[in-house]
Amino acid sequence: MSDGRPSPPGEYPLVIVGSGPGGLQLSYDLSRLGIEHALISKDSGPGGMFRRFPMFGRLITCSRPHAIVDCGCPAYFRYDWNSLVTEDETDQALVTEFMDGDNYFPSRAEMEASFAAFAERGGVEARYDCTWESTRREDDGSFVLGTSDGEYRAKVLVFAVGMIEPWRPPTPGIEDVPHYVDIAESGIDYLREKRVFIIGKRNSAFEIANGLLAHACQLILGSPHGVRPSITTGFPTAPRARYVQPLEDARFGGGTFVVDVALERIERTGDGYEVHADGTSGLGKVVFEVDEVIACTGFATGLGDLRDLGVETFYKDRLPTQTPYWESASVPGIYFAGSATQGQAGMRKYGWPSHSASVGGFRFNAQVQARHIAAEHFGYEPPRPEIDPERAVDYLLSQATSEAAIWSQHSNLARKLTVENGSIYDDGISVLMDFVDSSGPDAIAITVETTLEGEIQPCAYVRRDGDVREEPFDPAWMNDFRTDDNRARLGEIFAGLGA
Amino acid sequence: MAEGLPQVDIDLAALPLFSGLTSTELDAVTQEFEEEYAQPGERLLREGFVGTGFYVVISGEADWLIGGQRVDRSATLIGSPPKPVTLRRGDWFGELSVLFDEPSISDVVALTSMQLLVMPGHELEGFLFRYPKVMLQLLKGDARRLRDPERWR
Repeated sequence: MSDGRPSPPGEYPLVIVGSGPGGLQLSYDLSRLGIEHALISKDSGPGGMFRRFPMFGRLITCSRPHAIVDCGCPAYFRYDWNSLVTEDETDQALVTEFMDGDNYFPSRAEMEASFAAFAERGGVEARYDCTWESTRREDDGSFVLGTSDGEYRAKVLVFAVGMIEPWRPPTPGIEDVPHYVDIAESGIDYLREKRVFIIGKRNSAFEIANGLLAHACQLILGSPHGVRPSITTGFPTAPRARYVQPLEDARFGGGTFVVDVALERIERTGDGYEVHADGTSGLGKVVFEVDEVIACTGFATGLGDLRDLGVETFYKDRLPTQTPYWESASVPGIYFAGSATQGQAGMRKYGWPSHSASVGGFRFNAQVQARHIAAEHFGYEPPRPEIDPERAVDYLLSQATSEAAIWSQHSNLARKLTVENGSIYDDGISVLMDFVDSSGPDAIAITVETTLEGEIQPCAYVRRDGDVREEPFDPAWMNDFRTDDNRARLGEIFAGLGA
Repeated sequence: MAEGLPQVDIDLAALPLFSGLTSTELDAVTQEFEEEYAQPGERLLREGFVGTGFYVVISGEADWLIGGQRVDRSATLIGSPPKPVTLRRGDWFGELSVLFDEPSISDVVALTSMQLLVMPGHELEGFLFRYPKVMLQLLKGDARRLRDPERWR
């Protein structure tokens, strides 16, 4: 292949499939570690799902143009959930660079532009318009990817293919109604002045409902469970404030209804649908007569033929099972990046899920994963800067106060310091679950957690003589954990390590 | 489309904890939980840790350990010699530390690949009040473990 495009078919140490934010971030980080690889994508440019979604223009995650810290510093990512992470300070906060300043939720187009800039400025080269078609494994353990351009061979594969394949529950009749992803193709003009039943009450359902408030004459959102928005649960994965206007409209009697029902079947009528349902909170058997129905019932990862290779899945076949470093639990050598990493739920401390469904969380997964892959498969030895013992306590408390990876992945990622032979080494941002459940020398991993009372507090996980215990610290004024009490207590903990 | 993990659709009617629920109730109960996968050796419950969850085993097996030893927790209450306990399909764990709001007194470690339902601990009490039939089954199951620790399943 001499068509001028990068990464022609052939043999590579590693191949990444997908040029959305997960694939771009991982490619960038692997390159910084010196790991040669090919990045291929069926798309004609970078951006992945953000080339099509979200449907109604703006994201549910924020990028604050003006934060309490400078845009160029790592702590800024606490306030920017959407930019990919670069080493070059001038290229941090790329999303806000492209935002028009009128809204702190970036538009789809602004996201796409930022990813294109990330790839260009970061030197992330992808072979676009190259479609992954098949996968097989050779006797020597290497993988072969069949693509529209030819075959790629590698001992490690990473699939960053998003989670945007439509998924429907087995409700009779639901196969005949459009799914959320179909609306991206059809547009919403056909829904003008219509009565619309939206199946589901998660973010995609509320996004559609919010977008239809000015178009449809009546909206009904139905699913078995009541709405638990993020402002109630405190979880970033719950329906976000950005799209809960329909909930308020329902409360005020404005033509929107949010009902708790189990759907029994959907029947086509002459010019509409009948949605037969049974109330789960006292409504009883009901039939909704509507003009249109949209299934906002979730998504699946596009795994192609990976199941035939032995990749196990769960969640009704929607997500691959994964190790703490997002490697297939059943086929070593196959990894996942991007939103599919939500299949590794992490510690679930106080019920908090991982934040890996969003760019804000999985961009940091990619950084950790790149180091792990480089070390496990390619002999990379990560740097372990020595920390002055006099500075160690302040360093950890500063990390808990401002490190964006920790704040983006509560209870899942942590800053780890290891004590060996009287010295303290910085082992970087680590997977907390792996630290807690593995043996090793005395060490501390610090993260932040949100308690049931909604308080954000640091928590140190302390490994001493092989046992790990948790040491939660009190919340602090304005979330600045560098208090005298915390310094004294963490100092005592450090004093007992490495003896 | 940051949906978080989608809700699981599993035949709960076959599990003792959910026996007696109508199909509509099962539809609603299904969405109270999230599904989780564990690989062999993975810890699901960690001794001494707070903020844990309530788990129901869908498939696979797990060991119940206290101080690293495989024991039946109820055996320690009635003075019997410790008996190894393996958690299997339909069993549940984590409810005591959640309901008492105390650190877990045991580890639960996957012996095989597992599929589980998990509910954040702080949601369990409200869930049991909403579904008293489940509360009754949970009470019966936990009482059975106390009465007959060797054959509580």
